[in-house]
Amino acid sequence: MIKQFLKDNEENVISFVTIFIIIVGVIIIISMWISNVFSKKEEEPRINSYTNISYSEIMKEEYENVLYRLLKVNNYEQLYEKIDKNYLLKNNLESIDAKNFLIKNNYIGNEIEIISCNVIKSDEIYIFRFYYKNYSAYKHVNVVEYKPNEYYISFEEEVNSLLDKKSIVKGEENGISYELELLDIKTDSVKFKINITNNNSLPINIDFNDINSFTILGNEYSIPLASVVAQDKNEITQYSSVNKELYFLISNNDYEVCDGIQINNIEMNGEYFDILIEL
Amino acid sequence: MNKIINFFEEMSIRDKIITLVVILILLIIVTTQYEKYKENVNNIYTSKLDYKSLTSESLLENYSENYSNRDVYYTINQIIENMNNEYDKKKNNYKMYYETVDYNYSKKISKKTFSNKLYSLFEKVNNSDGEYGIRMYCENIISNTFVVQVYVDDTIIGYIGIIFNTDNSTYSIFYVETL
Repeated sequence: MIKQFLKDNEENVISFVTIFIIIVGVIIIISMWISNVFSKKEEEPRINSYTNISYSEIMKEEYENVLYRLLKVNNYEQLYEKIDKNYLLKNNLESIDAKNFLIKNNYIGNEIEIISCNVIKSDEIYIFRFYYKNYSAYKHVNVVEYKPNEYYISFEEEVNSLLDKKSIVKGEENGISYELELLDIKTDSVKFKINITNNNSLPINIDFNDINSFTILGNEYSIPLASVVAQDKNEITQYSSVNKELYFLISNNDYEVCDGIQINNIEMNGEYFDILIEL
Repeated sequence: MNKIINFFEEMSIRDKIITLVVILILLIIVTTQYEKYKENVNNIYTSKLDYKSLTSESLLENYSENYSNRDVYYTINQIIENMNNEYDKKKNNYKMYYETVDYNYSKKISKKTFSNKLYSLFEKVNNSDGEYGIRMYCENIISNTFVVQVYVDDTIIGYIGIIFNTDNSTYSIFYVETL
C-alpha cells in the first residue's frame, strides 16, 4: 500500500524530501552563524572592542579611600600638601593655624564616616563632593580634579568659587604649551610649579639662570624670581618638556591683584618673545 | 517586471522555495559583509588625510589637549596599557593589532610596518627607567577622534591616533608614530 502510494505520488515525495533537506540545511547554517556571532561576543571579545566605563564611579571609590586616610588628624601633613592654597589664603591660614582650624571645625578627626558623594562636572574640572560625618558633625569636602588623577582638596562651601579659582592654569601660545600650578602661599611669598612643553619643530631657549626670565606682573609692579630656577640656560628641544619650580617674594595683597606670570625672552630661531600666563 | 512575475508564477512550488531560500542565504551573507564594511569604511576623516606628508606636528594642528571626557580618557588609558602589556610577550603580538587599523590607514601601512612601529614605541617605554604616561588630544570638531601622546618623564616618545565607534563599542587606529 505504501509502495503504491509512493509510486502514485513519486514527484511530490521527491519535492518534499528536497525541500525538507534544504530547510534543515538552512536552519543549521543560520543557527551556526548566530551561535558563532554570540559566542564571539561573550567569550572572546575582539581586540578592537572596548567596554564602556564610568570614570566617575571608579574614581568615587578611589577618592573615598584617599579621604579616609587624609582626613585623619595624624595624616595632616599629607593633607596639607593637597589642600587648595587659595582656600588657605582666603581663610588666612598658615600651616599650623590650618591644622587647628580644621580640628576645631571638625573637618578632620579620627571618626570619619563618608556618607555620600556627588560629582559636579564643568568642562575639564571634575569636583567630587563628599559628605561625611566626623564624630557627630556633618561636613563636606571637595576633591577638585583638574586633570585625570591630579587633584587638590578644598573645604569650600560654594562650588562656583572652586570653578573660578586659578590654582591651575594651562594654555598654549606660539607652539609652547604650559601648565602652571600654585604650590604654596605664605604671607610674603608664593611658589608655583611650571611645566613647559615645546611642540615646535625648532628648539626653544629659556634662561633659567636669570631671575628676570619669569616675573609676576601687576598693574603697578613687576616682580622677578626670588632665586634662579637652575644654573644653566635650558634648551627645550622638539616634543620635550621641562618641570621647574618658581618662587616669588610677594605680599598676599599684591598677589591677589596680580595679572599673571610672564615668561620673558624665550628664544626660538634667533627671535625673542614673551608669554603671559594670566592668573 | 511582468515577465519576472510570470516567470515566478510558472515555477513549481519546489523551485519557488529553493529560490526564496537562496535569496535568504544571500541576504545573510550581504548583511554580514555590510556590517564589516561599515566598521571599516565609515571614516570620512581618515579618507581625507594625506598620509604621504602627514606628521604628528601637522596632525595635531587641529587638536587640543583636553580631558573633559574622562570616560574616553579612561578607555584610552586601558587600551594603551593593554598594548604595553603585550611588550613582554612576543614582537609578533603587535601584529594582531593590525585588526584595529582603520581601513584607509591600512591601505598605506603594511602589517609588518605597523607592528614594528608599535613594538618600537613600547620598547622605548619599557627600556626606560622613568614612568610613562599619556596625554589626550581631542580633534577640535570631530567628537570621536583622538590622538594619544605617549611620554616617559619629560620626553615624548610617540603618538597613536584612535577613532571610537560608539555604535558597536569598537575603536580603530588611524595613525602611529614613534619618535
